[in-house]
Amino acid sequence: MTIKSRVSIGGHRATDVSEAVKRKYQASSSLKKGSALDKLFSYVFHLILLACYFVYTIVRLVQYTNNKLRVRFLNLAYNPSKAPQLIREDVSKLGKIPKRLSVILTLKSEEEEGGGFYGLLNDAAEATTWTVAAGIPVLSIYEYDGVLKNSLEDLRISIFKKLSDYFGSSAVPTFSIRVPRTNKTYYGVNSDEDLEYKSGEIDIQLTLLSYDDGKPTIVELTKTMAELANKKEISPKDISIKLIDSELVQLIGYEPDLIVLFTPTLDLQGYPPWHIRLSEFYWEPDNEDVTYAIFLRALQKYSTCKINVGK
Amino acid sequence: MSQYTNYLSIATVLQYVPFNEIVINTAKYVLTGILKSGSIPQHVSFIMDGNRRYAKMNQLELFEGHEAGSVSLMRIIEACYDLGIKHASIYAFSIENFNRSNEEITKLFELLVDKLCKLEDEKYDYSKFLQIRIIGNKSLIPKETLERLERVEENSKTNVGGLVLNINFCYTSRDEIAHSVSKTVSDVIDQNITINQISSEVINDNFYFYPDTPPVDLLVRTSGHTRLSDYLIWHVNESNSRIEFLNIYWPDFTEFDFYSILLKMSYEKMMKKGTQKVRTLAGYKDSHLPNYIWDYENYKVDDKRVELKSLKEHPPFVSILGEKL
Repeated sequence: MTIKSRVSIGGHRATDVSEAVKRKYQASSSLKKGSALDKLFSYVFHLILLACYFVYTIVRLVQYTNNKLRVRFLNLAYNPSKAPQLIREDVSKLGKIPKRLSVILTLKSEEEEGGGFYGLLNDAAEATTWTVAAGIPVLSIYEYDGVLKNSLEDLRISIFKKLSDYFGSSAVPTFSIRVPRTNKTYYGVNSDEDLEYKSGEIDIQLTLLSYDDGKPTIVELTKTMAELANKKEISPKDISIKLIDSELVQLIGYEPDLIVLFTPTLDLQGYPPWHIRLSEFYWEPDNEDVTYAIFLRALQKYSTCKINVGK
Repeated sequence: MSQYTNYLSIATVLQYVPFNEIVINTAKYVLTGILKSGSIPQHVSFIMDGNRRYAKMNQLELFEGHEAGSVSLMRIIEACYDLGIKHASIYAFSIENFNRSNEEITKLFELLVDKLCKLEDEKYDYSKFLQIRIIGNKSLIPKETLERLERVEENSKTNVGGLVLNINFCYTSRDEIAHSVSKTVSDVIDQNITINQISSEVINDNFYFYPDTPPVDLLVRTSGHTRLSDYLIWHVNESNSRIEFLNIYWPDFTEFDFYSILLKMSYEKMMKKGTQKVRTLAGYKDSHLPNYIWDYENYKVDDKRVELKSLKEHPPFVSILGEKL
């Protein structure tokens, strides 16, 4: 028995594709001549397509309702109740967790529930707090426009207050915020000058990413390398994956193990391409809310994913 | 991810219908016509994952899994051509795949070259519409294999206007970016361009992909993994590219699954028309928030104290490379 006859795809046997293509090619060549019948066919097909769209609209409506209800149910089932112990309890059941986590957040319109600038700050602060409670020490937050980068003081306050809500004012975990490319790191809510704070173990290291940290950074890096090459300090032959990686790690950071998208679809929005090489993605269809249930489900999925680079 | 099962079950039902081949071919013809009357992507790409698991599941030899995958690929190529898609890219062999056993690598190379050489055969009509391009780091391809691949590439060079099949062989996206950066720097040294002219488009043009390759509209990965595995990371990270992860093995991926994805894309494109969100950040901070929101010095939560170190031990960190950290 040959492979072709043994392989049954979607229930029908694999035919001799080459022959089929041959027939198709001949058929399409004759059709190219064009006729009134072809035009009629194309109108009929388009009408059927519109009917398909109509049916699909209903299907999507059902799917959307189903997805929304599922997320609501999950949100009810997994509520951290501002208790880090509950979060750690959930996480400790997992087989493994990522060391570097990244989340993609969006600035929603003011009219939406949990939207606007304050909504975004709150989302960033919540994601940071869940991450630190889960025991993960590195988090990067991607927001396309860099709104968070431009509102550092507001973000620091929001994170501080959210950490206080969960851990209490007397036990706020330490945090640092790094803004790539500026090479600046900010400590706590106002501890930039506090040497003791800075030299101690930082519980969570935050990096703020935006579109500019992606392709534009690689373009800038190429320009810098071209300048060095012009000065004969580097040769094009020296440019390797290793060299670019070391530069981008220095500029932007390491690639995350897991990227959680709080978006309704898998939309990477220009996320730094170099940093999505092997990262796992998690998103919940039709969900835009930044909730603990989604965060936890992402970690649960990561704990079950099989790692086999190239094998 | 859920739609494909509907089509799969239709295909499964069809096998019990008398003269099923005629029914299937008619269904394909009609569905192709319907989809072509709407919006069709220009460039689709595939990570053909799951051949080995398919073989294991069906108690076949490892190599037979790859053979089954190649049958599935031929069907998809045919569907792409019928639909009028201009470019199809496939992740045939990653540089990371050199981690596999020598025996498997040799067989994979043989299979690919054998399939491509068949396309050269005059009795097949592929040559009339299929232009084959080998995209990847050619310095890593064994000499004999490379010569045969380049011959196939050369022979199909004149086939313009049909389907361009980009075979990503000895390819990873990071390697492609590094290659492009290096080539761009060389161009600056050779004074073909100035430093100020370096842009995202220049990097694009210097990729292994030919400069006339349109942007990737769709990337399909089978087998349920939700990662890119160093494939097209530069090409699909923008909002105008769609990524589909399917929970089926590549040999089980049929034209009907493909049609279902294209229908979704076509529908979404139609819905997006005229409703494109304009990004505006003007006044994003004017949210009329009360001042106490920004007062952290007087913000006290005294009814609890949870030390981070007092929490239960967390599970071990395992990186995406499988390293315990």
